[in-house]
Amino acid sequence: MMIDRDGSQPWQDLAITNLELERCCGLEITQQFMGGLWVGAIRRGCWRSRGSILTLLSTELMVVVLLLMFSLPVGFAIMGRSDATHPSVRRLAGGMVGAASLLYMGRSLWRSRKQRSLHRLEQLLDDVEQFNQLVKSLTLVQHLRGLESQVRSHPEDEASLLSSLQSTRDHLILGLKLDHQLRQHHQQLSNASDVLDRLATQIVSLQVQQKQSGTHEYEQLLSQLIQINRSVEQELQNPYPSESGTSN
Amino acid sequence: MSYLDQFLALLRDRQTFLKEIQQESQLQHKISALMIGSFICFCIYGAIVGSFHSPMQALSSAIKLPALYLLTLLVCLPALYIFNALFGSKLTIAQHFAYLLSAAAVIAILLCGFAPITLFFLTTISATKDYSFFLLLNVTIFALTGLFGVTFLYQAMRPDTEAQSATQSTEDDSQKKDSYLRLRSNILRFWLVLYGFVGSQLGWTLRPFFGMPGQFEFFRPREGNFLGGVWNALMGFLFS
Repeated sequence: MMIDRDGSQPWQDLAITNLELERCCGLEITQQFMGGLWVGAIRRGCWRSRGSILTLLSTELMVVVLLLMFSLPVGFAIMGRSDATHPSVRRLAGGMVGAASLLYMGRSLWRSRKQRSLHRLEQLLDDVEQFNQLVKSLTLVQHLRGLESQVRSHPEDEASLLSSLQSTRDHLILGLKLDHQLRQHHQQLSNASDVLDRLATQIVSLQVQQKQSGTHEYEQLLSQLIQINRSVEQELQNPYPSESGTSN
Repeated sequence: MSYLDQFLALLRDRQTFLKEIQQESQLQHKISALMIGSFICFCIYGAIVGSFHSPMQALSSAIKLPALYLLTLLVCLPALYIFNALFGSKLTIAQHFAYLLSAAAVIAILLCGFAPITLFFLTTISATKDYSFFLLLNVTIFALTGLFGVTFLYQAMRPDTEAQSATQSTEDDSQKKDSYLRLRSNILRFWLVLYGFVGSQLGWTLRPFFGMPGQFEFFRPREGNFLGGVWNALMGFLFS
């Protein structure tokens, strides 16, 4: 059973999708990259499990193979109009490998430069992931509860949790949009302080709710929401990392 | 969504896929998925075709067949983009590339669909006597899949499709826009012929894909052209 109060959206709809992320931060976000496979930065989460490391390595291998293939015209240019004799095939292969290496090195340099400028976004995306995970587990809990046909013991807890989730979601979206603006303008914007004020108020309100919560389960969920909000607040307080090398 | 899911989305729900390209939604991810997916499909078919001669030829064709299709796209892309942009298209170069890659992906998937047939003939014909037959069989398959791919591209990129999703304009502009739309349709048709022409010549430059009976060759001397080659193969098949 989904929580479907009158007029309220189901909990699972609170999850922030990749499309929303793309709209908010102006970059394509996938499990592995921020800003696409070719010129995007690698996400830190890629190094956390063996599976994702393998996926990343196989993707990089594909990139190398594709770069080699796209370097074929360079190889042909170096080979000239000679026949496919052994030395000329070696020249062709040398030209392809050389051009592909140059392209790969250029891409790596660009990527490392971008990685620094996307440090804050990376943190925010981790928060979004944590939030989505929370929404997912909550949806599952509610579903199981529905299967067991249990009566909801603390409807007021659920209502306040839903509103807290909604406002945390709003803050995450705001944080992502703000980070996008900060990256574009390379300076702190005046509305950053508004968001920070709202975040501080939200944290206090969550802490009050946590103290008043009826069950241990909701207390834990609220604690996770507080953590996410604190993390967003912390990231937005950090100065914009310059592309020349300073990072947070 | 993984690259494979994205690649298969083109098969499952083509209209939504194309609409998302129009809306620039997850465009880079789509480009990467289409590129990787079609590369792998072309590799598989190239290896099958090359195995007519030897394992070395299979390896060589597995590299050369994706290069043939994807390089042709890259070579022809700027011409299409610049002409379209010049006559009022609002599509970005990335969108153009995504559309072209979608067509290449359709060809790649169709080739994989024909792979069992090619494999069947590969195992039942003689590698020394039936070279011309195998060559013509594959030229037919390439032509057929290419035709489907080009038709798909034409349907997807027809300027009126783009115009439908664009914002409404004033009546003064409509006449000018109509003439531009007609012009862009003609440009697209001309470009498709050019694409076929560049592709066939690049195919000729990268040959052999099948490998004539005898010693393995990575490349053949650069002489003649594609049409002459097909004509010779046809004559060889009919009068041998």
